[in-house]
Amino acid sequence: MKVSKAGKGELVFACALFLVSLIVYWDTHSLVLPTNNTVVSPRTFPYVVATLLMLTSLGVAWQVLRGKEGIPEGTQLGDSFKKADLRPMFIIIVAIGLHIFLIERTGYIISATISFWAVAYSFGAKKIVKTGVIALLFATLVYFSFTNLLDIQLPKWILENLISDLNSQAAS
Amino acid sequence: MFDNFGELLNGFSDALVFSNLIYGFIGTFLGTLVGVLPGIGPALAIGLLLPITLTVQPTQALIMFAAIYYGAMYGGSTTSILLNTPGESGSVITAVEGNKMARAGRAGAALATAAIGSFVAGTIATFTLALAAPQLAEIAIQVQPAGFLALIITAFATVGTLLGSSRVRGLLSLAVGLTIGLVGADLQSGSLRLTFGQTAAIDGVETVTVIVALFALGEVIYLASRLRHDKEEILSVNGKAFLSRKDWKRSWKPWLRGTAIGFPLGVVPAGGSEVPTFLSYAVEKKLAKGENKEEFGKGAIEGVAGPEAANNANAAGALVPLLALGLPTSATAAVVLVAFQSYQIQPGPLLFQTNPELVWALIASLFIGNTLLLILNLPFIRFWVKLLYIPKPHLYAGITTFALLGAYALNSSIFDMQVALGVGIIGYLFRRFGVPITPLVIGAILGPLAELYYKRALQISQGDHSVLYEGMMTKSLYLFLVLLIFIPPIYRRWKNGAREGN
Repeated sequence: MKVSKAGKGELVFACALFLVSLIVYWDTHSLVLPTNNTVVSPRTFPYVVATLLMLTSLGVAWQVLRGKEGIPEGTQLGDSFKKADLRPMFIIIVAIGLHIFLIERTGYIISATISFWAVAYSFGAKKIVKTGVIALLFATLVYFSFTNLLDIQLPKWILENLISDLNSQAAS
Repeated sequence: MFDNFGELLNGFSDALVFSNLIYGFIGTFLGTLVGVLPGIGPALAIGLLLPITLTVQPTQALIMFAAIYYGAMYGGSTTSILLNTPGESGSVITAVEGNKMARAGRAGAALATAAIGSFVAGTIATFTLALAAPQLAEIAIQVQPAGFLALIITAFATVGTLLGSSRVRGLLSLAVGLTIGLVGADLQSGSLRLTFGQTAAIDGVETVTVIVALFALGEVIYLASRLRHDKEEILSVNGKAFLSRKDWKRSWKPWLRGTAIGFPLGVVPAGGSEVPTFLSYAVEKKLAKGENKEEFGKGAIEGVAGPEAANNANAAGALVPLLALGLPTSATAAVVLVAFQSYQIQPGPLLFQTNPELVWALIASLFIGNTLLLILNLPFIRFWVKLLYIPKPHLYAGITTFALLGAYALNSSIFDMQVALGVGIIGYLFRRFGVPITPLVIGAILGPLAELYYKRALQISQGDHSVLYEGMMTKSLYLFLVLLIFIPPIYRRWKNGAREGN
């Protein structure tokens, strides 16, 4: 039985989902049941779902072991799809994580500018300064059109917060 | 039936007010704008634009929304013809012949036949929708919870097994979706499932976040992972988007046939627009004669006209079970469902009784959106084509930022953004390992509904499980299901056996 490197990746993927199914079993098992008597327990449906997840993840693992690896949709014959470029992927995931971490700390404009810039960089944007300016413009435009035109509030810019804090302190 | 006609006219009079037409115009513009961007299909386009429609009045929101819906579909076909990167499975076939036509310098004709075909199919299909949906809703009112459960299970099975190349991967995707649907407080008992102590998780996972993260973040991460491998070429439009007399003659029959194939397959849960567009293509190829037949594979106009009409008619067909039963059968229909719920409209058999004005305004808006689209977009095709020249790094950075904004803006919630990141990574893994995404979306949305109907059915029967398969309707649905599961493998084995026998 020979499993390629990409196949091993898919095996890990299937095993991870198998693990998720075990977690669902465990979570359902440790569910606090309501005291009033219901006809259908809130456990029934999750058990069915966990079983389906377990069987299908095992099914995919079995297929990979038999050499039937998953092929990305839209792949044409002769396209090489097996080797993934890890660096840009990693940058994007970190950029998204940073955006989530910063959005309520520095405000929308700064965090969106940083993540926009980082994603553009990972896709090979050459002119770093120009991309930074575009990122800032994009974030500012989105911020003002959402907060002013659409009335959807986004976290304020850090300075605005400081100023309004100072104002309210001065008032009190 | 005449009642319906009167109601539809009322819907038109609501929708045709000048201020509402402006919203229709904005919707068409935004829908096309986002739909044209490479890698964005209708489901994602609607998901991304949803926050915008939330701030206006329900009727205006629906009008804008219908316009976005058709605009996004139209924009998607432009991208597949000129760039050969279909944003969703329904445009794959369009890309096959359409891109070849563009290569042969016939981009204008390909775009025109796609646009006019979409208009023709959309108009006929919306009209049929207006006739069929109320009738179906009237029947559906009598359907018991057990019947609804059977319908949902059938939808699960067809979506899970028909999409993608591998059945077990389709079902795996469904199972992951059902698991996501479990998160949060159980509707009846209030027991907390899979929340792991997170208060933000009690309300469950926001469906729009799941859809946007899957289609946008998952796809962006995937594209980044294979940056070095892909090269793209944008084809230019020479001349106007225009059909010659000969092209008209070759297009009109495929439009009608495509509509006839696409609409019914949208009404039954056949797993979105993949099957009907493919069928339409096969039919056109078979019916073509002489030199037209020779052109297939090299850019035949029938191969664009038929599937594009089928794709649009299919999208309108999917609105029938959505409006009449509350059951979405494709990723796009799932986003539409979420949109309705955010306007406080619950699609289902009762909708035509409780909210007739809104439904008919929506149906009228579909007609208007479709027409506006044809009038506004065809002459400005050169403007839309320019969007294809946005540099890739900026485009994907913009999509990522906008997707995260959508996740945050819905509830001003950091938790939703974290979910988006997690689901985005799942989306990447699915993409990489050939697992279809739509079953996940359907599972996450219909899973909680399936549990609800299951519980209701058993409450009515007081715990007697035989109620689940007793009625005529449930029996025939489950029979259909068994056939669906067992016939293809048996047929394949039989065919292989016959071949070996020779």
